[in-house]
Amino acid sequence: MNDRDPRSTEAPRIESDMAGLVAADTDVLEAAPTAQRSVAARSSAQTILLRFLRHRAAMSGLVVLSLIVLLAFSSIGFGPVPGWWGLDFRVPMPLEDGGRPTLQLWPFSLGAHPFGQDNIGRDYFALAMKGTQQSLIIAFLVGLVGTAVGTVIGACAGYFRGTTESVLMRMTDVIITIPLLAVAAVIAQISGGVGGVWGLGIFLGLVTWTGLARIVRGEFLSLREKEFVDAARSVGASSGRIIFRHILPNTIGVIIVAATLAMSSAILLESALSFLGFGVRPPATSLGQLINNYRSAMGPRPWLFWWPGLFIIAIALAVNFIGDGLRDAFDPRQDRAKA
Amino acid sequence: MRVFIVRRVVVSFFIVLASTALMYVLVALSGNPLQDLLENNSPGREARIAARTQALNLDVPIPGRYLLWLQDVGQCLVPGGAQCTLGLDRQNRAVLPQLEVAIGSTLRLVIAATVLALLLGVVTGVVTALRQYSSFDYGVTFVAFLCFSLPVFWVSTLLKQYIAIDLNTWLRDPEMTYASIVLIGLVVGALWAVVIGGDRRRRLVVLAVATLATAGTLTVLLNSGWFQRPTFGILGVGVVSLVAAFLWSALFAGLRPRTRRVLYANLAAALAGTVLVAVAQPFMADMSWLTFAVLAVLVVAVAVAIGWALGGHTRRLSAQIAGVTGVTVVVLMSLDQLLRSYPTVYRKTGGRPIATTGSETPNLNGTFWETNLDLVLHLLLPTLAIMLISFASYTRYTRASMLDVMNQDYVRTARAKGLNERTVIVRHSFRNALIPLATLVAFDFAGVLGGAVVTETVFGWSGMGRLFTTGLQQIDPNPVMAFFLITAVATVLFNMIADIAYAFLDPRIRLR
Amino acid sequence: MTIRRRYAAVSAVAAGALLLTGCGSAGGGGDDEDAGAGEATAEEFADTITIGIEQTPDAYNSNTADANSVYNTYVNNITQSDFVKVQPDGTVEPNEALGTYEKTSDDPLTVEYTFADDAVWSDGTPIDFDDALLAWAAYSGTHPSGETDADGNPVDLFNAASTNGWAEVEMPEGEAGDKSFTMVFKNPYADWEVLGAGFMPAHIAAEQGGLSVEDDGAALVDAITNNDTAALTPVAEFWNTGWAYQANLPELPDPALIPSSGPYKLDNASNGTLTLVRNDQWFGEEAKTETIVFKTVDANEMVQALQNGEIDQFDPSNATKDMLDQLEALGDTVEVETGESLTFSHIDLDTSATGVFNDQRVRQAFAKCVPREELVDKFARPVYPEAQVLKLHEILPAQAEYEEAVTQVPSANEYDEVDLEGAKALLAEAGVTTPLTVRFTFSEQSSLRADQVALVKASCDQAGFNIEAKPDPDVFTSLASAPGTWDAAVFGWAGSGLIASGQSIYITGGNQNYGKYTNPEVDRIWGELVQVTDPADALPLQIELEEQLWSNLYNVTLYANPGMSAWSSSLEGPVYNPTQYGGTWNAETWTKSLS
Repeated sequence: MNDRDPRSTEAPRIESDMAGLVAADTDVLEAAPTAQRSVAARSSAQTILLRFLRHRAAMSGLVVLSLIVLLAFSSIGFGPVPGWWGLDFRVPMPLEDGGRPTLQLWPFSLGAHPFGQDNIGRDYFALAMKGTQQSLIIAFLVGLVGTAVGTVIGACAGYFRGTTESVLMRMTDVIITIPLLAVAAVIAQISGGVGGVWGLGIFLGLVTWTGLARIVRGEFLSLREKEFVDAARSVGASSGRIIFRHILPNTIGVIIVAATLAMSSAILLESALSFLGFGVRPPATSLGQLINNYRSAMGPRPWLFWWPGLFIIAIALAVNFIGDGLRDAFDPRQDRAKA
Repeated sequence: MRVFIVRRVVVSFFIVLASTALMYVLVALSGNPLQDLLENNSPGREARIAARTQALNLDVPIPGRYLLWLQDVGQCLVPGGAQCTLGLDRQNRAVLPQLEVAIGSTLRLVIAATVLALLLGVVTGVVTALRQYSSFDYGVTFVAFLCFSLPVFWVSTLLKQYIAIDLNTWLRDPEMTYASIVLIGLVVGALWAVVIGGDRRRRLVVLAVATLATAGTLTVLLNSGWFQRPTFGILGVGVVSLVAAFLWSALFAGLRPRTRRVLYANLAAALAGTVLVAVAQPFMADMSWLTFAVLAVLVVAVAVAIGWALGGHTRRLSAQIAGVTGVTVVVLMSLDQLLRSYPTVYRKTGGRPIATTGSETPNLNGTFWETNLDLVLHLLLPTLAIMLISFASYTRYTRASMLDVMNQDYVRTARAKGLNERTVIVRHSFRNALIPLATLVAFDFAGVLGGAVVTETVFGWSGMGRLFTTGLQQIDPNPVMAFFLITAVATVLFNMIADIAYAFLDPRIRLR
Repeated sequence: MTIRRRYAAVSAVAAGALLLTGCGSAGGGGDDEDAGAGEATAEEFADTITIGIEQTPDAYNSNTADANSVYNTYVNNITQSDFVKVQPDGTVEPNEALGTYEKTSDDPLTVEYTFADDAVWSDGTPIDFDDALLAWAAYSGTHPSGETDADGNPVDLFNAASTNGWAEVEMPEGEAGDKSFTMVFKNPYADWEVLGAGFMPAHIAAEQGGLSVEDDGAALVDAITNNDTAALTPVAEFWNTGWAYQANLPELPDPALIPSSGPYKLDNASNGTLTLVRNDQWFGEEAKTETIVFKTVDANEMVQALQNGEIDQFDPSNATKDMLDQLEALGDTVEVETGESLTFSHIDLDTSATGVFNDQRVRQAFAKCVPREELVDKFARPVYPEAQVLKLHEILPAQAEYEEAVTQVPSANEYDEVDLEGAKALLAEAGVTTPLTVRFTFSEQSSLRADQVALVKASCDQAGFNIEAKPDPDVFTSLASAPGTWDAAVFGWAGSGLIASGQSIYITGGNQNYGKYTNPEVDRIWGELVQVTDPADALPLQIELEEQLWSNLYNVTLYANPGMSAWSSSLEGPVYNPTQYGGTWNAETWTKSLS
């Protein structure tokens, strides 16, 4: 696990934190488009949206993800709100046909248990939907918490520099040193019981912000030297105002992309943790936990293994494509390159 | 530079110190280390609880236990100090020897996966960049994103079922219907067609040729029982070496009249290498790493010498490329030998050579090549599983980096002054595109080291991942900390190397 | 040729190829006989059998507190000999190869043991008195080191896993080199027959402890007889740690340190894989197969490893329906035998004065609503079709006497069927307000237990209970040290098949009596039970005990956990063995045919 998300296909940059690299040099690639963006903000927002809407892969990702979210939350309901799928994921029922899936594609019919039934006869569709909900919640929480923490820390470090920067970035370095899977496993072992998925999501968010903090800091380092910041400062704007009203909007692209990708890694991270036995604990469930529970069922009852796997892949793939589309929309440099 | 390194080392030391403290406390808090004993009802329960309490110093508060651990680690730093154990596990066994063994097998796995992923990823990345927006590009992009989205252990389970168990069963009696042979041929042909590209006509020709070649080769191999006794033969080594020599010359020097001598020198080097290998055949039976190294160095040296001697006024370039050709010959020779030892390994593994678990067949007692083939067959699946993500990220990075560079002014200048496409791509674009990649590999390596935890569990490797997972499950901090110490040190070290490499490769950056 | 025509030509070629060859196939048959059939020998049997184990063995001496893992036992079954061999049904058979024993007196209980004349360690040293005396020294707990542990209890020189039984034995008297010795018990001990076990090579411990090994270990015998702590300390130190393997078995210790007394001896180890070969000094019936390999494989990966021929046999520690299905899907190539293990699942109840279940009628009401039959049906029978509701605590279905005993405990048969009306009536009688909330705790890591609690809730909530599932990451600590935080708990006890070991679960104030159950009758019966010396005398007492545990309800037993053993059908010899010795108890008789 790495703090650098390999999916952001920007050429990797070296930050000048403790390395003391010359930041301006390495940021050459980034500076130009950023400056352009800040000049014509409104029209560029429209362009970005348009570019995103034209990105076919991202749009299919968005459609797939929306469908999954809709399916997961509407089918079995959420919290007090009931869903249209009548069966409870907790209630065992008599096994029908050895728990085989009743889903039929042609002619299309769901049957009593479209995804089959598990060991004690619970409806696997309801279970998979519950797992999907939980995985989505974890992903969302990790994305939210990680992004918030990473943005604030990166912004403060990049804007204030000096001691603040040193302290914050050393802190980041300490967390980066720990392999994400390792620290997540330990955290999950502790927090899996405390607060279930919500606890797990928030705790994981608290350790996955490091990559974003570095990226945001890099952006701030270059943006704070720009004329518009000087201008704001000269009219007496407070630091908070400069950070949040002037600089942050210019880094929003990077942050959104990173947040999206953090969500897709969170889903995989959760499944890996559940596999190692450190993730969500029963009776709570998640897609990763379902796979792990029924991994040995791959031979005799493959549906128990395939459904959650396919949902994980579908979600992660959709989110990844959306992230790709967002990146292209915010930073279309590569479209110009033609060999 | 020196100031930079010293400062960096000092800072890194404190970072590692802080993160170990954090990690130690977290691990110690993560559960009850006496759990399994409390569950047990057999005689002697109290004695065992007492023994473990003592082994893990459970009577000392956690910060105190961390200091004790630090003291154990400190003993390893003092030269000639007491005993370096990295602490004891809960059964009072020193952790250091466990770590030494574990590192060995984990490194084997991680290095194999990284090297393969790098080779494949870079090649694929470059091709996708050159064929931007082709169906090949889209296909690879999709595959890369798919790789990012796959849960590793989910894939591993599939790999075991289909690549190991089913392939083993197939290898027992290798047979294929002609329909499936043609199908495979068509798939391979289509792949070549989109990779090579060109207009429709050219693509069709490529498709036809590649399909026929693949299907034909498969048929011949199947009917000659090649899958039971695979080999290239010395002839095969020679032919493939010559082809490789031609390709390397074409790629790195071009087939212009000015560099004709490079081509000739390389062909000669390939030939000479093959002859050497042929002469060395009698020594292959009982080879050791030493004799292998001697032979390898000899082949490469002869190749370089020939390249130099025949290179004419391009002798530097010629010698360099001949070196690559020499390495190719050594690789081919090794492959050939590994394949030849397949029937023995097949027999010794009871007819199921591809393993799903463990890192070697016990009591194989084979020759150099048999042992290594066995290792390779055990490495196969876990390497594939680890490779997926690294491969995807290297592909994407190479592509992005390549596109980035090809859009730079100096590349445009190179084109404008009339350099041919090969020179523009290989000399001006590719080299510069590799710079950011170098740093990525350094970062990634430490990451993969941590990520191998899952793979090791699935494939039953007793490496560092095992140390970590069992340690954490048993709330036994010292083995976990040993794992962590290695990854933490590797992370800071590789970060430093990445920065230095970046400065070294990119003259625009100075280290202060 | 236009592009179109060229395209047509290509398709024609492809189609033609398909047509011509569509129904044929390449390869197959051919010369696979010399690739697959072994070294052209006429041998009928393979010379290696590989056994899958879930954890790497960690010590040759599995009798220390540090190293008492079942996987050591799996190996030691065939590398170390005892005077008895426990059979799969729990009965004890003498092992004539090592020697003979005879009970010569009941008061005081006295047993005479004689090692066979030809019994030797695999390095040629005879197995004799010093080995027996060292065993006594190690297991009797009579050699204080002078140190105390954190709680102030004296620490023994020998870090033995258990001193049960041996602690009652007087020091055997004899001379170095004697082939026989006598054990005289201070107090009768019910499980005396299985004590003739756990002999470690005394000459190695003595040598490593700096004592002379001349004269059949006279120096060690003297040291123990004279209680010479100074001389014994290094010996004990070696006994405690000298036979430990390195973690994950990268290699074996010096072969001279680990002589065997069984049909196999340790040969080599690498990367968690342990190889045993025939012991050429073995004095019993020769082992059938030359080499036995123990390979460490993760529990979840066993089936695929078996399918891929990497292992030939394994005993899963946690047998599930999925594993069984997976194995059965492999068809004829694999044999599976299932049965009832010695671990049993049960629901413990907080019967303390403040507990919800203090009133006997509430306990009975709960017992009536727990769907025991359904639980067996969902969790035991899928693996072992003949599984039944467990009705006894101290005798398990795997033991021969279960069937007979269960008919003699009438109260045990009162809760066979779910009786919601009866449960409601009992609750009303007890005068508790319904719904009565029950905090039902279980191990958070176990989806099995979570499922079971869900089923109990589904049934008992109808009878007037309100079951609250309470997953706990550390359930045993909570049970033992957080009374009042739970009302019911579902978990398993690993039985040992011994008579005396369950005492602390049931007696007043017992360590594992988590529900604070008190019944003077039960206390009295246990007092007698632990001193019985003839298994035949134990049975009536156990039946009496069971009757007490049911008529004054202690807990709700559910089922004996199903166990399983699986092996490649080319193996001949394995059977499922639910005792702690596991499947390898007779591995020396296995053969593997070359198919």
